[in-house]
Amino acid sequence: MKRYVLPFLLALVIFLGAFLALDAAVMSMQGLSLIYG
Amino acid sequence: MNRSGLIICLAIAAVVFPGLTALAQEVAVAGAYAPAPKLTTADYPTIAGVNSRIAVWIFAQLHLWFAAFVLAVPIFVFIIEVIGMRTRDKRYDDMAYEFIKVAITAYSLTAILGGMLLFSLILFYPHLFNYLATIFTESMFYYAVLFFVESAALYIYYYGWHWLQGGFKKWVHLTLGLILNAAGTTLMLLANAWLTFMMSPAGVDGAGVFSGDAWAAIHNFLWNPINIHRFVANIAYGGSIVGAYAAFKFLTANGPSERAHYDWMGYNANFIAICALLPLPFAGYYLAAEIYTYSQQLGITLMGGIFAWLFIIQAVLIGTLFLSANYYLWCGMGRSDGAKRYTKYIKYIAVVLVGAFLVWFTPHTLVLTNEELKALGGPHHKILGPLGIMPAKNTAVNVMILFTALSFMFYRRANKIATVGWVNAGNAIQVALFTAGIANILFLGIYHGYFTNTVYKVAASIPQVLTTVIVIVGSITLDSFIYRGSREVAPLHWGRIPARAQYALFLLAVSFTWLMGLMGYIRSGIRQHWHVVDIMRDASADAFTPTLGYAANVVSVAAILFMAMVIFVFWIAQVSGNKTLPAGYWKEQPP
Repeated sequence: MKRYVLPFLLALVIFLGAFLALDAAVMSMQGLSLIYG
Repeated sequence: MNRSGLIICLAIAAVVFPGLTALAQEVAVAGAYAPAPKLTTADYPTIAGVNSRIAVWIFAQLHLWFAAFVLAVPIFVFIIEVIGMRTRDKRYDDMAYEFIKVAITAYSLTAILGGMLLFSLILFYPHLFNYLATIFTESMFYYAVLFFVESAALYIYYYGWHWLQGGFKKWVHLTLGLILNAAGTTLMLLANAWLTFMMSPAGVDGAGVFSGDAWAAIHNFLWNPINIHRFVANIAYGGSIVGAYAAFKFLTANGPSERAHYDWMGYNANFIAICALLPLPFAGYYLAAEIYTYSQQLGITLMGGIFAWLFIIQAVLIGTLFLSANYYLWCGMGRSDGAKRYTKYIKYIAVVLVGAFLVWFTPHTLVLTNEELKALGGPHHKILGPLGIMPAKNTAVNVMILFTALSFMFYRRANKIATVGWVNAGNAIQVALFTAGIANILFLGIYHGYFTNTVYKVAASIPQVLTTVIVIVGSITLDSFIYRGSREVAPLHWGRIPARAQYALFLLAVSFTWLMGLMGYIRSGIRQHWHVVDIMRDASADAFTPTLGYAANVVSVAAILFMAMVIFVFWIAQVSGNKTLPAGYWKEQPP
């Protein structure tokens, strides 16, 4: 099971990055930024 | 004859019959369209001491419950029939036929209740109905025509089911199903136009004078938001009612084969209800956002004023829907011999669902004593307060939806053994996808719930929804690859499910009914003292918002009446298959 920790962490980082990029894109389409300002 | 021709004829007739002068004047005024009438209490007839608001309220609600059911059933019957044609598995065809059999009796009740609603509107609110009929003349006429089309299509579709079988005949039958659905859905769209006009009038000026553009009045601001919400909700509701029918048949079944059949039917009905339930909160959020956009006053009355506490009851009922649908799925895992690999995870899903449910129905403003207010330092707790506003609600419902999808994934996996070599890596990716998705939903909810303004809070709801959709679609796609060429643990044991799971299906149907009654009152009630918002004032003795308890009691009485009628429908469907052979009653016929 241990040898699947690395693929899990790699997939997790990729998915988190993709979701944050999606958040930023959708907020900017509404004229807003990802971080409140 | 056009309108000017009619006026000339009436004018000539008026010379001969002076009594017709008044009628001629009325038509002439109508030719240019009169403003919305300004009424007094005397304009509302009192008949036999009946409370007019209660009469219309209950008839409208009963009609709508049945209408939602008979519009939804043909939609999924059509889909199930297509599945049967594609797979050539006759079980699907038999199930579709049984579903439509239940809808046939309900169809008659829908029409009767529609008639009762129409009579009560004309009798109790004649000026309002007259005003609406002036604007929606054509659509009301087409509504009646479509009613014939729908009836004809439904009767041929049902009574011709066993006649129109195989080859070309089956395609003819399917086409009839399509016509039935087109007529039924169009009927709903027309009726939605009339009620949304009362909320967000269009095609009239400030005094209510109709411009003559019927499409503008139909295509008013809230028409499509209501259309979307009702279309999806009707399917979920129809699924829950036929689920209750299957549960009733399961509990009264004779022998294991009949029990297996109705277990399978209940599973499919619950599947339909959940598939429509998952996108439903988003359709509701869109509708509420559009109500706010149309009128801040309507929006704040809806969720910040008198009706806000009814939304807490609504939240409890929606939580009940999610819990009962999930509970049914968990019980259903007992049909598979391979489910024990996944049952250990159910308790964690239950904990998350209950946690999200608690956030889901946390009120924003609590009912507090002075001492409690002082101890709290104000009406809102600084940590728990934001749990009462929409970012927290959106987060909670997205998490509930994701975990319901997870329950489904475990259910689908329960009877399969993957044969691909990369199954563990695939599972690691699945866990990563769900973890990242939930982390993103929590980030968007917590960050915007506590630290940003309203514009950001509303905007952040969209990436939350997209995250949920991506995780559900992504996980189903990934699982389809992981389980490609998989082996079955053992054949599914349909019918091997505890009786209490059937009561979860009853709970689903009752919760849906209650919920629709409650929200129907809210949607209608936010007009407050207006028949047509800002155009036509309600001057009746009942032009006030009743107390929450009173309204909840009326809705509950209506829900009990509906349930009694549904039990009658189920019973009729049951006795239609019973035969009694009375020995010695009929005289022997000579050979």
